[in-house]
Amino acid sequence: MKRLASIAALLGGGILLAGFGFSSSWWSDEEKATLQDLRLVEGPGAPDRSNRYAANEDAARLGHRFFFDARFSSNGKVSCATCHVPEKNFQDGTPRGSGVGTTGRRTMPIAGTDRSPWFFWDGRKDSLWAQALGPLESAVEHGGDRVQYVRLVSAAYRDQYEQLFGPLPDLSRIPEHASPNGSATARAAWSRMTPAQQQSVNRVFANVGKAIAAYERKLQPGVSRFDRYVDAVVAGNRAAAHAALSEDEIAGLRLFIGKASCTQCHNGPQLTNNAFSNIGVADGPAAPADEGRLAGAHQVVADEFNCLGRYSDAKPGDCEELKSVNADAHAKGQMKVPSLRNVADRGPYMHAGQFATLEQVMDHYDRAPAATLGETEIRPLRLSANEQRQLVAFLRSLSAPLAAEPQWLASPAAPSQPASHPVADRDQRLARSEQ
Amino acid sequence: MKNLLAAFLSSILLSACMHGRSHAEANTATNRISNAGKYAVAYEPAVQPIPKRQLHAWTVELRDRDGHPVDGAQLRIAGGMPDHGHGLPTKPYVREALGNGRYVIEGMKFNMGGYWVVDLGIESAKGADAVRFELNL
Repeated sequence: MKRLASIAALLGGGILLAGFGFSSSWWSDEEKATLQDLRLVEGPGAPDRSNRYAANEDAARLGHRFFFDARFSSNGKVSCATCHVPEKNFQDGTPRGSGVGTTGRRTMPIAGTDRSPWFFWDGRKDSLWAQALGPLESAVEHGGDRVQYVRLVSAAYRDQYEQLFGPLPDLSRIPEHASPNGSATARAAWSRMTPAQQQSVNRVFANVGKAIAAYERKLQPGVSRFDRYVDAVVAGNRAAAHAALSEDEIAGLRLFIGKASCTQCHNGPQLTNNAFSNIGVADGPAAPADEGRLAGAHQVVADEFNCLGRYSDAKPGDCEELKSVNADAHAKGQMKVPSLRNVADRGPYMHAGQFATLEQVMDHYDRAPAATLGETEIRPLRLSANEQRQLVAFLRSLSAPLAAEPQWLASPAAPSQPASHPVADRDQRLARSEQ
Repeated sequence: MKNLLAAFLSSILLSACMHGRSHAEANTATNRISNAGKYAVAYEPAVQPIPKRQLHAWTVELRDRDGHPVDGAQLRIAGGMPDHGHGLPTKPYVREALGNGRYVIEGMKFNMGGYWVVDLGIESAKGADAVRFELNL
């Protein structure tokens, strides 16, 4: 009698456990919905309303040329592709970026970012086209100024530019170098320009960004083994599911959506909710404390190239992200949640490349140390070594070759017209005149 | 037998904590009476069911306890996920007062599933009050 009762209890318990999704062989309806939420949505997102050229093929071709043209720099040696290397998922594999100088943060990848509302680790730009303008004028990245670039477009890209955007401005009364950002000389030259001259330069500069953004929209993540697994699960095809992912990878996926709570932030088809989070990753001892989103939120509101600015093609009703931006004190130390697609192929990790390997990332999430700046939003997970290994295995299954036509993944074949004066010479003359 | 039962109960409890299950006991009504009883407040999301990660508007309808629409009120919107200890990812604001006690709030965004609260602070000629809405997403 006692034995029968024990067997009955075990059977009842087994049914209870299966009801709570502890069955190791398949997924509940709720879990399937979570998996579908993570499945890649192929192709670019809806065109950014602040860029009327976002889906324009001619703009993409022109932007492709700009992206690989190292004359868009103070020394003639730095193009976008210098740090956003096509063979490396359009990033550089180093903790910080190297242009004419060294940046403070990790170079970010590009594929699939056309859908993101915010750009850079701190979200200080609110469109893909405005983002491109930042590094161009950064003293440690491209090192140049917007007037220099407008002159380059006039000299080397006049026909292509004017066919798309209309006539270039008259540059005869505009200085060689000028910008509201940059050196004291450049800023002084900018302040001597009339508002009309400044706006005409800004408009060309903005269009350069819009062309680059149209090109970058061509770069999308590819369908991964994880996506194939989700398709098989939804179709009820267990054989195809087990052909797509190994048992360890499936176990890692269960942890990802369950015990490890990764989908709190890494949700959606890009495995990011495009929000900001403080997970207590410390800056190096020599590095200044990085306030992240707290600074970025204020900068994006003040940016002349934001959604509400005069160079945006959006109507004010299209700019709700900007109008509802949250710049509260809790944003201190928060960084943008990155996408996890192809994550295994692009270490090191975190905003200054603090972790070389995914194993180190797992260890950080597991221990969840207190933040040195602001408050950490993660708690210790208490994963076993095997569970951490399975999570890493799952993350590897998110890798796939980028979905892009081959021409977009390499430098354009034919060169544009050469500029009439080498840019590097002009900059050396300017540097000498400043001494 | 007793040990087996204890094991089942604790594994169920543990799974609930680990999986962050939604608050089954939450009051997810879309119309509620404010804390001091001054207002009846109802909300309607512009997108239903409420999407994750997507910015959207809410239309809020404000009435006094006699059922009369309340115009000219100031609304402040706060909230967050109490279990995670974080607030709303955005700063929603009143974009427009439509009249007849209706207000359009822009900038609502929920960037993950789980238990959320949205707190409305209300100030009008009828007095100051607040109301909390609960959501399981």
